[in-house]
Amino acid sequence: MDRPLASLTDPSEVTPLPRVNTEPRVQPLRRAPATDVDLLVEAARTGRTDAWAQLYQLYFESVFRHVRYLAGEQAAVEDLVQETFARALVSLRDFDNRSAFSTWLHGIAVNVVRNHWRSQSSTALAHDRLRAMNTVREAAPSADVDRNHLARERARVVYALLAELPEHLREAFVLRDLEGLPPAEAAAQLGISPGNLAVRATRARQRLRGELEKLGWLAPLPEEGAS
Amino acid sequence: MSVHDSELEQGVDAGPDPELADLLTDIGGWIDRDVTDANVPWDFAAVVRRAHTLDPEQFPASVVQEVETAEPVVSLAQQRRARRATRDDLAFAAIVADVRADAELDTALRANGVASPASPAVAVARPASGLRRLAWGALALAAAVVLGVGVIEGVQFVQAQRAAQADAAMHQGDRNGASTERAVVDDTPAPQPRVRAAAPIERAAPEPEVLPPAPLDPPAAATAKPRRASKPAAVVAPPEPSLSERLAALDEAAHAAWKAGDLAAAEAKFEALIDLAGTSRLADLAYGDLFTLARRRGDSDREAALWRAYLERFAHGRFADDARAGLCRRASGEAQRSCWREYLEDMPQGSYRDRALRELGESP
Repeated sequence: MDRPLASLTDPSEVTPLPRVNTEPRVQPLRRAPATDVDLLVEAARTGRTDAWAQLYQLYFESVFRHVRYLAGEQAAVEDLVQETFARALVSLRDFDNRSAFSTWLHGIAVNVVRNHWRSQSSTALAHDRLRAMNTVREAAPSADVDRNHLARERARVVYALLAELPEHLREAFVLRDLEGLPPAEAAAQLGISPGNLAVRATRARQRLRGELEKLGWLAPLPEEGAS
Repeated sequence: MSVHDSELEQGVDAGPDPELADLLTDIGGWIDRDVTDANVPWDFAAVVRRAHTLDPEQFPASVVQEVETAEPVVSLAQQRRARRATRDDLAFAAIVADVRADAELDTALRANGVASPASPAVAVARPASGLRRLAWGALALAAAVVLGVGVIEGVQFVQAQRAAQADAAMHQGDRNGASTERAVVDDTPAPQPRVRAAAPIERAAPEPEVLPPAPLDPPAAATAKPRRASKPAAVVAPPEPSLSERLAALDEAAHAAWKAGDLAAAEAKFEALIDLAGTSRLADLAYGDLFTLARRRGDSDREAALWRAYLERFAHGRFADDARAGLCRRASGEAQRSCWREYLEDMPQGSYRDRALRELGESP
């Protein structure tokens, strides 16, 4: 940034910013009107906080959802989203336009959540895992368990198991299989090729399945060749 | 994709696994619902504060201050909802104002012996555009009659009868057509002039002008024209803004003050709006702005007081969930437990359900 932001509060210095007429997007990666966003990004680069405010407005919901998937828990999401935007703010000058802004922003979220996972104590993770195991015994046999409650318990179990996976497998699996991002987008956010992403996601899937079978959540797959 | 990647990708497809896919879809659906219901507060100012911590050179304190005093960033959907709500509120307030004006005018007219402006004849003559117009039409009609009588200069009326004539005409309640209407003077001296409906006029008076369509605003002619040509003209009072106009002006002024960084003025305007708007949704929304302003100032006592005031007026308002939880968070000891317990009873599906359960030592 070439000049202090405070000086930009003088209206005579700033050009009126075009308003972005886009809907809040749950999947901005697919529908982003590049021209408007590009204008906002350029304005934000020059220190225009109002441009940043609009970018925040445009991407908050999608980043929130993204972080929620990556983190697996609601409690920390608010702080992680804030951290994502703050880090994006200070590093926007490093954004080189090689990817879409949304990909870059969501990639920052991946890094922020990765640090969050690393900062979690192994004790806490072990506790979650133990809790998940117990949940299995309680929830699995009951057929009339509330569907929403069941989904929540399943999520808890899956994330407890994901905590045991290497982070590169976990991230690929979450983006691809849980959040359902297109391969190219997920790969771009992780900075890997789509092929590499596919390998990681598959390995994660296989390991996760094995654990879920052991816990009784999934029935074993039939042997190959079995009719 | 590199050759290595291509090789890696071969064999990665482990085949269909509908059971796992179902499980993951189920989890995804739950997370999406969880995200939708999260009701997360947006706080762009907090983002900038954090950016200031990370890089104070790039984001100096002045920028933080600038953002903190600006209007908060809210979701576009919320913005649209608020705009729609404001429009609805203004429309509703306009109707209420019309009804109120009609009722007040009707009461005033009745108190003076003038019949309620409900006659079909008048209804035909007046523009069919609302109760307020009807009311003002009636007033205009009465004023026109006054005027008609008032201009009979040179007619040999007894001086002592003139006032009674005027009063009687004022109270003329017959609505059998403005063009044929006649004022009548009761021959019998009476302490209070009375109205004799449809009675022939004793003296021919000039025909009052056919009423023009009643204006939206109070009819200037009715208030400005003198009863006697010799009397000085009355001062024309500017039309009072309607309730909806006043609410809109206050809302606009509050947001303008906020944008200008004058938070105290903004707060005062929102408070005035709340006083005026009663329990309408506009007042509900204004409370939301007051909460934000109090939080910005870090005035937690004020925030709690606002929550209480809000809940008294809007026990089931759009911020009731947050206000209830906020008060519970502030309580301590048994009072806090009791607060959370009541919260769960009143709002079993509230946004802070998990928190409440945790506080009560129960599993969310």
